[in-house]
Amino acid sequence: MLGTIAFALIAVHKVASDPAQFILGGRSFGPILLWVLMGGEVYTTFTFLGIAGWAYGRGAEAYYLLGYGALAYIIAYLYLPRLWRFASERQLLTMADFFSARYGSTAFGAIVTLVTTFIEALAILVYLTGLQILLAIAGFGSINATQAVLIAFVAITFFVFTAGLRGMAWAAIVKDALMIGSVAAVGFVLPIAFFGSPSAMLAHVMAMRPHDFTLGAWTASNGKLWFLTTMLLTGIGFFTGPGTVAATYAAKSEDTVRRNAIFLPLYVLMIVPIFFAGYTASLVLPGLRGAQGDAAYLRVIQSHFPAALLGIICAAGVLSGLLPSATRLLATASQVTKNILGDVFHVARAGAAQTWATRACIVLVAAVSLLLWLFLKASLVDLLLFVYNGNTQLAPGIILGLFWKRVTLWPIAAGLAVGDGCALAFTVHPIPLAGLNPGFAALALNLLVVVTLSLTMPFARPASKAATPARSTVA
Amino acid sequence: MLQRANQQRSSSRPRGAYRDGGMVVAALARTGLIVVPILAFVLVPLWITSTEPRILGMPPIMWWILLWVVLTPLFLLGVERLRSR
Repeated sequence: MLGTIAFALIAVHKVASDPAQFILGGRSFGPILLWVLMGGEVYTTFTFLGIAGWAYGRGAEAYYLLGYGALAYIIAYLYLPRLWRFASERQLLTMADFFSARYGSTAFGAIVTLVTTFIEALAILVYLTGLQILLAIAGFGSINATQAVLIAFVAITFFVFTAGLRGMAWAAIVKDALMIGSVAAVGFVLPIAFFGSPSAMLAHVMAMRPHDFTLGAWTASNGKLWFLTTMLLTGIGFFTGPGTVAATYAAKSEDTVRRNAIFLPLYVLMIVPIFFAGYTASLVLPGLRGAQGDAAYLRVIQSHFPAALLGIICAAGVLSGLLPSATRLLATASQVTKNILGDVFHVARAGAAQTWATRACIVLVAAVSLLLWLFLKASLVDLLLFVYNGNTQLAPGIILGLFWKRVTLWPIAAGLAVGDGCALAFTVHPIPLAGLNPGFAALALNLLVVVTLSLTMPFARPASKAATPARSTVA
Repeated sequence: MLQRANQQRSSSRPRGAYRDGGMVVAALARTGLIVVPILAFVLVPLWITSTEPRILGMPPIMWWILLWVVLTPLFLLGVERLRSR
């Protein structure tokens, strides 16, 4: 882990203090850097713990985790190239810049920043918790939770502070190599050690839990309707966060973005061994509940295999939490700097001042996450749902904004308020929605508001080109 | 489709060109190449009601989704081919 950070720092030792360099790596990322940067979203601590936990304790609904990534890239193929073009034509730096530019209001950009900062602070909190679980297991009980989170917090902050986006992308290459290796090892070693082969292990699971491989009734909780709406929600929302949007801006060309979207689905294949690990753990060490189930396969490794294997896996897992939280932190901090400090208060608008202000905001946002972790421990699981559901409410603003000239500031702002309001309400007061994914219900209401208002509001053809979506000139 | 329509409008080619049979077929083919994998991911798993038939020991819901994860890049490459013509 330390080696990776050192590697990243060496890779970036000559990066200037130019903000576009620090935040977007100079918009020069070729296919490989972009691939690992975006693929990083697939391989997080959630991959290591959450997916294994779903395979361990859930039914067929767990298979949305295998499908939604590829679905997301199909949708991404349709709109990310256009987003890249819009951003590069206007030299945009952050996701909130897109909202400012497309809807002609820096105030709206600042509001989007406030909303996403809150959501991203929660997301970073998720990673902190994941890191804490991994560090606790890797330390064989010698590290307590608070110490572990503090270590994780310092590591993340220091890393983002010094490396910038290019350093992260380079570190992501190391992280992915380590992860793919360890995931494949665990996913095949565990079933072979206990059952002879993965297919023999699967046969056991299917004999023990025959109903966990077909979806439940249409309106059951986690049934068919849930699967359908969750696939759609997560597929649509995959790229609508400050981190992934900034990663898109960082691409060298529109073509790079497009090629990435074509081949990124293959990244999802690496989730399969995690399913194997989770299933094996459910047979070897059955009966664990909740977060305990997430780490079940790590416990199996801990008690049946040499400590070195667990060490390598936990190291890969820690990196998988460190890097995505680092990209999120950088994107969030740069939004606060650019779209609130710069656009609203007119400070730190360029050059070294902007880079340093971004660094200050990195520490600030990370500190907010840490405070949230200290105070919100109990209700964590509920808040996690809000991260995805909340960010996806930005999708109409981004996607419709790129394809539909009629959408303007007020419909999108109203839709975002309704969508995020509902997402938060459904999180705080869960109500049965006939098996619908609550985030999807919120997105549907959001979309309804946007479309209705857009169609009923008088539409004046925009006078300046700045407010219209980017269009290609050659067919 | 929408992207296509916009591109047509902003190009210097006369509007009538869009009615050219070959282009309509290409546009339809591209839409199909996008829609088919989406439906394969989202709808087909709803009608999987058994743990048979198995492929490489995997239950249908697993191999079906995996199959489409592998096929998706090929479909998107197809779209890309038709686009660059």
